[in-house]
Amino acid sequence: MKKIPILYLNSILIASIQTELTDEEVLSFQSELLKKNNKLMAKGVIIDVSTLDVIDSYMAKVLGDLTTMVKLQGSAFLLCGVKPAVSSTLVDMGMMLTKIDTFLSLEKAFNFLTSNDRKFQ
Amino acid sequence: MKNFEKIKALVHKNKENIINHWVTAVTSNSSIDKTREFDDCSTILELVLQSIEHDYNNISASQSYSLLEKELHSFASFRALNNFTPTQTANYLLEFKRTIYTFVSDSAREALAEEFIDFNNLIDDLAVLTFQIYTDAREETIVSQAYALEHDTPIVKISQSLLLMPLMGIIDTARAQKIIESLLDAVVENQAEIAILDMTAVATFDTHVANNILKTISAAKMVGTKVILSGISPNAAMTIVKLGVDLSQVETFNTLENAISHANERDGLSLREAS
Repeated sequence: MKKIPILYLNSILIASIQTELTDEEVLSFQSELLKKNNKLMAKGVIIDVSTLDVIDSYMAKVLGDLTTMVKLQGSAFLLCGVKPAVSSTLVDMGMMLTKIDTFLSLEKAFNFLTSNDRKFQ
Repeated sequence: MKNFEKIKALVHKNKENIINHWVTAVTSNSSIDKTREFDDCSTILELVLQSIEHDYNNISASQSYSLLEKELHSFASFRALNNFTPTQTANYLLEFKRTIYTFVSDSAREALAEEFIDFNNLIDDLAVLTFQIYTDAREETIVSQAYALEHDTPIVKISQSLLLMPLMGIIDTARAQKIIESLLDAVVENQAEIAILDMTAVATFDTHVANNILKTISAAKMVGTKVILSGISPNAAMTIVKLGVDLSQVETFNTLENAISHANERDGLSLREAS
């Protein structure tokens, strides 16, 4: 089973999903991410999908669920690097990931979290 | 030696009548401008006459024949660009043949037969050529229209993080798909945080257009770009409300100017935040 590294940087959790995952892999990733977030109490979680060519409906659902779960834990959930083709396919399927805050790049997402940080201090 | 002495004499004798007859035949069941047809007919007749001065076997090498080809070229292209039907175009030269036949008296029929076979072939060749040119011109029009369709969604970069896409004409499903694709590609390539869709030149606004625009907006949001609309006309505004399309999630501005200044303000804020 593929394991996705979850990195911790500046109190932000960063994970990059680079290849398509099976349903079990997605679920194990989800629970690992939530456990890690619970332990480290990150300001936010950023998921990077910039090398992912396909996001199927299950993956889209899990991402939507993760948003709600991470927000319940008190952290922000950001998605970055959705490819144009992926985005238009999702829209055609009627899967609007509208609850999720999406960013063009990891840098932009990271800047958003760190600048928010500054505002609260 | 094959030549067209007898046909030439016949056509020369009845020139005026042939032209009139011919013009009447080609304009009988359409609303084509007669004077233009008259000019075309006379020119072609004149050139055909000059061409058949030559021996049948070396007509195609003669100078008058290339002049004739040139004339047919402009004639057929004009027809292709001005929505003449294929039948009208093809019938043109065939009608010429038929017209000449009507001027042959019964007694002369026998004597002319041999010349007519060659003449027939000549005119058939010309008709085929005309039709080929007509189709080529049509083909060209189609290619250029396809090109126009391909390139009718320009994307303008206004600043580091701001793109503008003016929408024009009618937005059907095929074009909407094209718009979504090119906008998303441009947005990701330029890392633009805001994209403005300017609707000033959108001719009609119906549920389809609205849905397609909503799709574009959600797709752009998913890659991380905010889309704002500008220039929705009063008519479009009324239609949107009447159709019950929900655009409340989308920021809209009356003019492109306001949209740009709003976007720049946001841009300034986010830059300050980041530094």
